[in-house]
Amino acid sequence: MNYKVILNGCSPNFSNQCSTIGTFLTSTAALELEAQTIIFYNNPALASQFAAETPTDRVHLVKIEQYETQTVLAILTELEKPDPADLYLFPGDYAGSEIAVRLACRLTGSSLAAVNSLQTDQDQIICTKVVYNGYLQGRFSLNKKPYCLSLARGITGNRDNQGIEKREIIQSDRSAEEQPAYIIKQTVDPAELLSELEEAKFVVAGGRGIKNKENYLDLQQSARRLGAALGVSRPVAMNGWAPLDKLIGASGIIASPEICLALAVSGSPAFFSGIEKSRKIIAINTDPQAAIVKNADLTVIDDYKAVLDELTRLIEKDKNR
Amino acid sequence: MSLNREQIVSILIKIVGADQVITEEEVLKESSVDRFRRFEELHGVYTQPLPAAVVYVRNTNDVSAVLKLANEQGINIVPRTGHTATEGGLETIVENSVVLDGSAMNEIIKIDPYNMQATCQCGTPLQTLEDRLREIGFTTGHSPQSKPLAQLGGLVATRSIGQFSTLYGGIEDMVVGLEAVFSNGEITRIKNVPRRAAGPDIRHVIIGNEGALCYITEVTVKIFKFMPENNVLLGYTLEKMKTGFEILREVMAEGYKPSVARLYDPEDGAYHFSHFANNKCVLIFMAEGPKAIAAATAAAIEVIVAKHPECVKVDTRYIETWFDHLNWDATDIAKERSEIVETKNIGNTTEISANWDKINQIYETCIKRIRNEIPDMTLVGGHSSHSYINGTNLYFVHYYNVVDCKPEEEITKYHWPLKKIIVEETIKAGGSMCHHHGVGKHRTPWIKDEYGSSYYILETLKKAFDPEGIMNQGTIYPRR
Amino acid sequence: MNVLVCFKVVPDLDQLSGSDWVVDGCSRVETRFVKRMINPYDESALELALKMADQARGSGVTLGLNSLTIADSGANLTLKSLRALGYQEAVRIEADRDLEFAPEDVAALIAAYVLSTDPLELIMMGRQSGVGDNAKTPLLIAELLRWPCITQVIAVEKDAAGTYLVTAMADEGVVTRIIEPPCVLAIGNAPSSTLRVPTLRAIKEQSAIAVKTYAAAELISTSPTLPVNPGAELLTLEVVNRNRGGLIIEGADATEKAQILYQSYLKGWLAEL
Repeated sequence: MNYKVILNGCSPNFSNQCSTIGTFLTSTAALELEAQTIIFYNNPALASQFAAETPTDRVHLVKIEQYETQTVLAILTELEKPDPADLYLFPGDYAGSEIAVRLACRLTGSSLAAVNSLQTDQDQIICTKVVYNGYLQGRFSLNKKPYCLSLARGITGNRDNQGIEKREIIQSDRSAEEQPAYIIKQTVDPAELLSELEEAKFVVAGGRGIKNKENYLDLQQSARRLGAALGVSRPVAMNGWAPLDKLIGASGIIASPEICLALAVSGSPAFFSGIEKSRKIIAINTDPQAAIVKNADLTVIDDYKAVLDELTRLIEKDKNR
Repeated sequence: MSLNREQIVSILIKIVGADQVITEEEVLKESSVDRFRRFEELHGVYTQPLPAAVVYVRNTNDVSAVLKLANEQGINIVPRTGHTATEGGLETIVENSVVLDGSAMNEIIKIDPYNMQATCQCGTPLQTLEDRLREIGFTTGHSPQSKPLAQLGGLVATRSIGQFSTLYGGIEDMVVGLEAVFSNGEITRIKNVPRRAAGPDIRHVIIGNEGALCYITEVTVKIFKFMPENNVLLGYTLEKMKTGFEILREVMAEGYKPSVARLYDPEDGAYHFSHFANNKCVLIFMAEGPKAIAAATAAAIEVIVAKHPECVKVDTRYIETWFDHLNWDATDIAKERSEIVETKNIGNTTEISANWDKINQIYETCIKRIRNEIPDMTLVGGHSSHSYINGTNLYFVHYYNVVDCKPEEEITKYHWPLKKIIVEETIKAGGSMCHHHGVGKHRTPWIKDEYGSSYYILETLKKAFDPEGIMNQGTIYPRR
Repeated sequence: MNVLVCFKVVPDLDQLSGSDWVVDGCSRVETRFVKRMINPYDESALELALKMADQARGSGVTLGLNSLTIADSGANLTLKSLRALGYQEAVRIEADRDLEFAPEDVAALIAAYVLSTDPLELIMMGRQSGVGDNAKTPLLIAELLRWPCITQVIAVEKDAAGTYLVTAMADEGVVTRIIEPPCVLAIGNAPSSTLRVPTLRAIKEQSAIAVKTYAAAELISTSPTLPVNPGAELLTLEVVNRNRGGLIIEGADATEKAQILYQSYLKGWLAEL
């Protein structure tokens, strides 16, 4: 099956995108690395670095002014419609998730979002993804090419694509492309490097049971003292107790630390999928019936503040030795 | 001469040690109120005087020493364990009160399956005792919605009742012996016997005293065999509350004791059961106990219900799932918090009781008056959940949007007027204004109407047991 | 109408216990017995639209709100409540089959409805909804109508000039755009967007007024030129097992439990980092 990879080089998480796709490719039997990656980028200084990180052996670097969905879709459609590939792969970030589905419409193919795995079955493909709020995994078949898939968030590995020899590097310049008329004005407030939480080896995650913003701020202090990155479950962010970029879970960051300390969080699948890649999970919760109790390696049934205070004291004591 | 805050704190530290005396402002704020004032609390508004300290007692002697001191110095004491009270009983309305918290006294002292008794300290969470009993095949039979959080001391002090009361009774039917400390420091212990006629039953001075007469330090309750495999759940939808009350009455009058007998009106029902009961009343029964008895009870209920063709049986799986999620836990309370602040919509409850011949009339009158007289209501309904041979309770549920109103004015604008309607209509009809939450501090204006001439007995208890008036001022008895 | 908000009523899946998760022969799980709720992302969309109408009213601009769901008559109560909250219209499409994993069909129905009514400025809906979790519907609608679509929207306001100020999360950060309608907005994690509660009085006023209902087949027949896109076909479902055993650490109090946790486990794990 021939395929192409589409990446967003205007995003600060480009390396993550490459590593995600690279990991997915190597774990998918049907896909060889002989394929083209189309990268939309706007900083010429990064072009050669991007080419080197690309997970396939051919690269097409498309220079644009800024990453705008309508523009990118139009360019992709123009490039691909005459001779579409069988399969288009997108990472599971915001850009990938939206473009994959819309491109399938424009190329009259079929799409699936948040895909975990892929198998080919003659001309069909069979994909898995979580459904029912993360409680179940579904297997789906797609029959109409081209297949446009966005991957599930959090497929990471230690994939280093640098070793792949690049057979072909094409460059095009579409920076003069007209910006879509519907946007009168646009400003970007750049995000903190999300990778802190995504790459941390020790993560503390706070849930709704922390009760208020003051406690969140205290937790920030504790996390610092523990040397851990801090994330929160969706309700904590939605209540305005913590910023949205700290949201861990299906609709936010997927962390994959060595150790995760989950405090006062009940552990529904939507949240848990954000920490399930942890090697070890410790839950602290006052409710022995909370879903997270069975899904953690260790649980302490008690008030998180008291336990955390003592843990912090012990950890700092050993650090200072 | 009254002591100032620093002096109070300093003497307390001498008695119980500094570790047991908390003076952090956040703790004091949180300890100045209970769920009655949760709307203002959620907005960070604290209208009650902050207590001078929260004291965590370690044992009965601590309690005795602190009460003795308070009695001598005129310090208002607010006894507390689980902090789940809903009627203001825990509000520290007097300047420089001291909250005496028993939650550190959480030892399960003895579980005695032969005598079918369990003894615990006052700070034992009911859920903990219940879990421990279930491990060996027993149950307390007591399941109030606050079970995951409430503790034995408070549960006895408020004459609490649980979801299975129609079979097991309220806390008053479950208590065997007690230990309680009085305002002069006197420690009293009532022994565990099955029954006696050695004078009046003095346990009833303690059970329901809401901290206005004494401090409960130890409780012994009966335990029962836990046989959930024999449970039979029955659910029906029906058109009219009146029919529902008739059915409840017949079940009780014929001598059956299901553990659960609940009747929801369409409004309250919609909140819980809209996925299968649109605009209908919902009737739920559970038969429990030894197999033959549970089966016979369920069969008899089916026959009684069948006499009313408007009743339609409902797949029990609907009821099972709902029942499994009925109790509060920390997550629910936290979720409720943020929803209230965002939507400015809050709900509370008023629970009353009356004989069969008055209950439907009280229900209809109150609902009608509330709809007509109170603004911004978003839900008004009710359910009956505890039945007796001679009557039943009614749990009114009232939700409203708080409109054009400061947080600290919500009670004056909405909650008191609501309670006034329900309390006055109930007392007028001869019912009781407090079925199981306690009087707290907000139904005290009607306490004399509630008792009539028997108020003489209630007030003499206060004069006898708390002559200095240091025990939870403003609770049950109007503030001096 | 200026704004159409599409929503879905879903079962509260967190109320199902372990043993309830049984997949039947049609690749579905029985969810009839749990209570229902408005899909949280759609709830955000509904409340954001109301907040936008409040804000616009404050600047002297009237915003007409319409809401739509594809459901059986069980949804009528929710639709009437939305009218009680200030939605000028709240309509229902009655589907002829299960559309859980068929976002293409859902999008076609919504697009057909939109094409049959007066021109709209915004279509708002949650980015995905539980059970199907397809995360495709708003994008497909945008393609069918040839409208732009902004995803992960967390706030929206209308200007006096008739344009909209849309705030959304993106990979590069938070993006604020002033846009000309029409546009599809897929709502993401919008803070402070719990749906407000209607008063009894307002509900009573709405209860006698019937809910406008459309039959799916009829709607589709009004838009025969809508492209038919094939989707993905669900083959099987299985329960995801996340169980790790959950060893509970016992101790006399929080401090002792923390000490056992640290000395016996965490200390060693941290040393390996």
